[in-house]
This record gives sequence, structure tokens and C-alpha cells, in this order.
Amino acid sequence: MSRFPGVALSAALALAAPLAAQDSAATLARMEMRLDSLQRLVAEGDRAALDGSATDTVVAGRIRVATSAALRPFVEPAAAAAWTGVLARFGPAIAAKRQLPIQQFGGSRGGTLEQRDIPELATAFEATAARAIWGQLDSLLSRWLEGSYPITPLGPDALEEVLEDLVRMPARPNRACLDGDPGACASVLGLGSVPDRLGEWYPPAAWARLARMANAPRSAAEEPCYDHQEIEACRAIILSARIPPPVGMAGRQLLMQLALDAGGPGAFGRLTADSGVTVEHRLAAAAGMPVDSLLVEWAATIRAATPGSPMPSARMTLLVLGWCAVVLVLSRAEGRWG
Amino acid sequence: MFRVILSSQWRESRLAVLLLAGLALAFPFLSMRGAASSSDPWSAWDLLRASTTWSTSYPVVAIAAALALAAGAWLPDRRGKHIYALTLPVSRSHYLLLRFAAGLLLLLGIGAVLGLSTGVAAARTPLPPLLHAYPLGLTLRFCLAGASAYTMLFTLSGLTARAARLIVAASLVLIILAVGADLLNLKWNPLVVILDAMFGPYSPLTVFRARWMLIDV
Repeated sequence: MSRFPGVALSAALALAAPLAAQDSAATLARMEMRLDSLQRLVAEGDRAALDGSATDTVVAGRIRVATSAALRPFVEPAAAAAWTGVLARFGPAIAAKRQLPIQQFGGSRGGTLEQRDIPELATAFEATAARAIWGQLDSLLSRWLEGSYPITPLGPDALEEVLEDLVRMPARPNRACLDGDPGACASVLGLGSVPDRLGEWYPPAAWARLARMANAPRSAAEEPCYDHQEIEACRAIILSARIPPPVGMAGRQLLMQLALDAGGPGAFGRLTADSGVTVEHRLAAAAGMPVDSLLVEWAATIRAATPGSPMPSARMTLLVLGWCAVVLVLSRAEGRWG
Repeated sequence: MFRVILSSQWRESRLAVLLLAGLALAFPFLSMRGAASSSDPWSAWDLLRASTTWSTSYPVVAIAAALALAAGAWLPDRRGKHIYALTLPVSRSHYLLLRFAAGLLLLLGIGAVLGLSTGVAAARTPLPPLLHAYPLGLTLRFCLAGASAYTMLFTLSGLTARAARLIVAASLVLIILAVGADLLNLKWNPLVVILDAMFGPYSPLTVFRARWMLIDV
């Protein structure tokens, strides 16, 4: 089913709704339910249309891709490369155990592909499979990562973002962490359990503004916090929402990535082997090294991402001046009275 | 002779130069305006945010200065139909270099104003731990980027009408090819290739690709 009839139907239903509703809230709720069911219908229609157009299935390991016969020459090597990546990342035992969704690619809507698109396609297949495997993680690790799984390696921009967070957030442990103190980094990354996380992270002088950032639902406690800086009122606001962490989730993703990289094959298996112990124990098991060493490496990785001065390098200066000289010399050959 | 050419360039571009020098003077102070005292726990947050917000203004001033000075470099000659230049006892190359140097000197003057204002603004702002001020780095990048853009624009504005027509025609052909490549769903787009090359690591405009931050980590 195409989107247009669905939208038209929902518009018709909206017009057909009783205008003189006795209770507008109840009417709204009914309309929302109708709209939800219509959207589900449209989504199922789209899926059915795609299923119908997919005439071939490519299988590589546990990765299955529904596609068309015309795209098979591209999908097959891409799926094989993706499965190799999944095996290297998660290990054969984990990859074989986890349920992976059937991926859909192309069909009648598919465009043209070229040989050079295969690596990109493989990355996409691998990311979908990795997302599915990470999605089956136990609740302790999922909660700690807040659903931000390290699907693809973090780039330099993400590292710079973590560094900026460490520098600009007024969290107590941030500076010591940047200096390489593993205990401070453990605190920054929310490892370990402490009775008062807010007090451990932020000085009370920062709470009023933190309360604004916490995106808490509006409450009567706002006025004393925002207007009079009453710390207990601010605490109530922040705790009613989510305490903004000293670094964003990219910091935790990086730690996980470092642990898996350090642990090599089987690291993910060790990470998920015992769900009864703390996150730091599991990270240490995955990395095959004490968690303190891992945290020191994390801090060093972040420090290495320091962008530094905007001063142009000697190479860049030479390059630009060289270009200018070449352009000027060329411009002598062509001119107003040339 | 250089002084005469400099003076004619100044007459043509003084409004733009004064305006841009004023902006170069004002922007660093404006970017530091929201800075709280270093005892405020959020001072690093505010400073970094302000520095990021204003960071785009510096390359814009550099390009504007290059554009104004390159356009002003040939205006007196164009108005006088090159009679003055032809009466001078110098070769065309020498004359071209004199014109180029006059514009470049004014551009570096704007750079010097920026250097002064970034230095004073950074010195007046109490920096929280882990943040650094980069007045010199920013000024040198401004001068290099301005010089690069000025050289390209000076050369373009000094082209003969025939060469300018050729460039416009080539640009139009390029745009038509790019639209055609899009319509035919080709993977290769000449416009994208050229833009990539223009801002690639070996391009003279690569100097614009950076964090133009007065205050940074």
C-alpha cells in the first residue's frame, strides 16, 4: 500500500470524527488510536510491498538479506564481508547464538549499484547485525550505555566532543581524569555505585543551571531553584529527570570500544559471560587487563584528540604560499594588456 | 611608485578596509562578552560556546577583505582604461606585483588589527583551567587564509574579458554537466569533484578548514 491512500484515509477519518464531541480529550485519544492503527497499516503495506519485490535471499553466516536477483552480485560479497566483520567483532560463539533480523535491500525500488559500493553496503549490513547483537545485551550494560552502542568505531570528531565535555562541564572529577587519574575517570564514566551521584559529580553552585539542562518536567520546585538558587529544590528537579553526565555517551562507547579492541577475539563473549557482576568487572574481563589500565588508556586517547592551536602548520603555510606564487606567475601570462 | 599605487588602492578600498578592520577589532571582544568570572563553575562552558559561535566570523572577514581588496585593485585602471599604467616605465609583471603588494599590505593591516584585538581580548578574559587562548594562531591563520583568497580573487579580477568569458562558460558547462549527472543518476559528479579538490588537503583554500577558535581546549 502506498502512503497516499493511508494519509487520505486518515484525513477522511479526521473529518468524519464527531465535531460536537462531548469530551475533547477522549475524542483526541480515539483519533490518536485510529491514526496509530492507520500508520501501522501503512507500514505493514510498505513491508509487504518490499517483501513482494524481493525475489532472492542472500545468506552469509547468520546474515540473511532479502533482495532481488539483479542485486545479488553486489549483495553477496557485501554480506560475506559483513559476516566476517561480525565474527571478528563478536567472536564465532556469540555471532552464532544471536538472532539476527532479515535485512532487506533493493527490490523493485532499488537503484543501480557499482562494484565500489560493495564496501559501503557491507558496512551497512554489519552495522545492522551489530545493532541487533548489541540490542540483546543484558539490562546492566544496556542501562550503563543508555542504548548508545559502539556500532561503528568513533571518529576524531566524537573524541573531540568527549574532550570538550570533559573541559567545559563543571564536574568535580573531570580535571583529574584528564590528568590520567583512573578513579576520577571511573567516576566521570558512571562506573561503580555511589550513594549520591549528583553530589559526587557536581558542586552545588552548578546545580541551578544543571537543573535547567536536566530537562525535567515543570514543577513547583523550579522557582526556588532558578530564582533563589536553593540547592535542595535544584536537587529535586535534577533527580526527577536524568543527571547530565560529565561526558556524553560517546565517552562510554569509547571505553567499551577500547575494552573490546584490547581483548581481541572473544572479548565480547567475556563481556557478556557473567551478567551478575559490575560493569567495571565485565569491562576488565573483556579487555583482559585491570580496569584502571583501561581507564588510563581512555584518558590518554582523549588527550591525544586535543585540537590545539589554529596556527597553520609549516607544511600548510608552504603549500598556500606556493600556490599563491604559482597563481601569480600564471597571471602574468594573461592580463589586461597582455 | 609603490606609495602612489598604495595610495590609489587605499582611496578605492578605504571604506571596506575601515569597516572590516572595525569588525576585526570588535569580534574578539564581542565573543568574550559573555565570559563569566573564572570562579563560576560554568565559565568554561560559556567561553567555549561563545568561542564556537563567533568562530565563523573570522574566515568570513578574511574572505570579505580579500574580495573587497581584489575588486579595488583594478578599479582605478579600469576607470582610466589603463592609460596611467601604460605610461609608467615598468613592465606589466612589475606593475602587477606592485598592485598585488598594495592590496596585500592593506589585508595584512586588517590582520594586524585582528592580532591586536584578539591579544587584548584574550588577556582581559580570565581563563578557566584546561582552556587556552590562541590569539597568535588565529591571527596567522587569518592572514594566510586572507592572502590565499586575495591571490585567487586578484588574479580572477585581473583577467581579460575574453578569459573571464571563458571561465564563465566553463562554469556553466560544469553546472550543466553536474545537473545532467544527477538526472542520469551517475555516481560521478564533476561539480562535487571540483569542490572536493578546491577544499582538499592540497588546495590553497584548505587553510579555511580548521577550528577558528580564539579560546579552545
